Amino acid sequence: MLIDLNNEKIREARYDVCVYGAGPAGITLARALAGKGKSVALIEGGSLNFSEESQSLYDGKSVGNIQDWNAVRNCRLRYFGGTSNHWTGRCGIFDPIDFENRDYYGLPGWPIRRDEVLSYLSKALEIVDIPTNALPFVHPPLESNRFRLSAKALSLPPTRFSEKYLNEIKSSSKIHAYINANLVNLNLRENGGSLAGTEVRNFRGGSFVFVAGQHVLALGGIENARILLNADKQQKSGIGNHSGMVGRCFMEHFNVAYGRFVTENQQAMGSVLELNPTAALMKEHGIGNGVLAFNTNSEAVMYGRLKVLKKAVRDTICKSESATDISRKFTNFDCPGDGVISSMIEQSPNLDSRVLLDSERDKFGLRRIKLDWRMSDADRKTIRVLGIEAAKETARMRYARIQLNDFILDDTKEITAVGPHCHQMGTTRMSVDPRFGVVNPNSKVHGISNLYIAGSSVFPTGGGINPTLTIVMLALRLGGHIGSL
Amino acid sequence: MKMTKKQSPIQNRRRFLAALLTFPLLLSSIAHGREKKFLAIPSIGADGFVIVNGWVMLKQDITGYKE
Repeated sequence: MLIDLNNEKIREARYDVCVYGAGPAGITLARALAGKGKSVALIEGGSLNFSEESQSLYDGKSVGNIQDWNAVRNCRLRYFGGTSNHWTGRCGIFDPIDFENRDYYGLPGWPIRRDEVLSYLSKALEIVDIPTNALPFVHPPLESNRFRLSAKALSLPPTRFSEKYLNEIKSSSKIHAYINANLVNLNLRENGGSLAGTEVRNFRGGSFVFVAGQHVLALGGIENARILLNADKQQKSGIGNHSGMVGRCFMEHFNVAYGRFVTENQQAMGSVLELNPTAALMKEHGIGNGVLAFNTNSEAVMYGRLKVLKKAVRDTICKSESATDISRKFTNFDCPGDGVISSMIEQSPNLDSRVLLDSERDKFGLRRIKLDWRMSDADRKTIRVLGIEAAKETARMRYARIQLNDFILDDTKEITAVGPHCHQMGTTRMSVDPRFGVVNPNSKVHGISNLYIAGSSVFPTGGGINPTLTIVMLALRLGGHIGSL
Repeated sequence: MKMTKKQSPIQNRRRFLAALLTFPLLLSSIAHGREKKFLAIPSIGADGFVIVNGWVMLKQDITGYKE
């Protein structure tokens, strides 16, 4: 059933489970719980479509050493289906090393086993419309002990969770999906050990109470932390923030522009070559994971009134190896098959990279985000080592010759050409020890018996692959856990 | 009298353009090459790689490289 809270007069609703946020994590979890016979309220702040009124609630500030407005507002979509409404559909699974404790990160890693998460892989692939018989995650062979070819699969066209699952949810007797329903407060019982209920508001001034046996925040990598920090009426530093960990360890995947390359082996390079470091390379240097993508040009495209002449000159030069070599000495001269290197680099968990609250408040009185996204020395090392090692390896294999940007080679220069991949992770990290995390291995908030968190905010580390598939697998796992209570 | 094969206007135009662009580049390259210094980053130079103007290359791929 679909309920628009803007048109409702109810003041209190009771369910087995309330799930806040209707993105990939929330929708997957609600469906899993309904399958276990639970009555579920799926509570979405936005409506069925984009609206400025809803999206503007994500406005905030960016104050870190990587200041990117997109990371605060534009990466996320605040309406039914969440960020799946604009994701690209890239899916992959974390490497074994991603689940290992890495001493050089200084914080504990994943407290659960990789194979436990992967036990939900086939179901998750079905959810994001990737054929389970395609074995998409086997790394193709590469004659290198330092890099592997990337193994990923595409949800193509990308599964829009709203389009795919809205009708099923509308007709479900177990799921009540609320739209225009904004979670604004978490109310603890007197002993502080559990939630009595939550306060949800519509956009017309109405206030509602949701009571449930279990509550799950699935609001996104930034917003999960924000709502916990804002719930400071009963616990001064916010709920679940006993160790001051809520909002800390904000992680993205760095999108670093490494430089350019000229192709030596057209067949090996293809249209795009994507390399992941091996575990041996990562351990040898004490660095994180990542992907370096060599994107080849198919054709030189010229602009301006002389574009025909310019194209003829370029085509002519590209036909001669010596003329091409000479031209490259003076300009960034590319021929078809050459290209630029983009990347997706793991960020180390860093206590100083964090979601904070600003003094400015939104229309519901919640303090807005102040994102202090920080690149650490460990991150700079990962970025530089991966670039230099990849350049050496592609030269050794005679795949391509790489020209690295100066900030990769010169460690006195700041790494400037960097942006987010819109993979926001880590702000309510999972840990057995409450000193180093916000949720336990079952994704339950430490110290609160009926509050759980779903989504990438529980990731202790971010790996070198897109996070959505892992988000979906963890949501299925959480559905199994809460469904069994 | 020496006979030459007649070429199409398009071929002539391409040759002309190639010569027009390549010749000054060639001259400049020679002049530039005389002063060129190879930048070898120690950690890279030690395992057979050098860096020239940001390009990461095997030593044997660089004409004129000397330790």
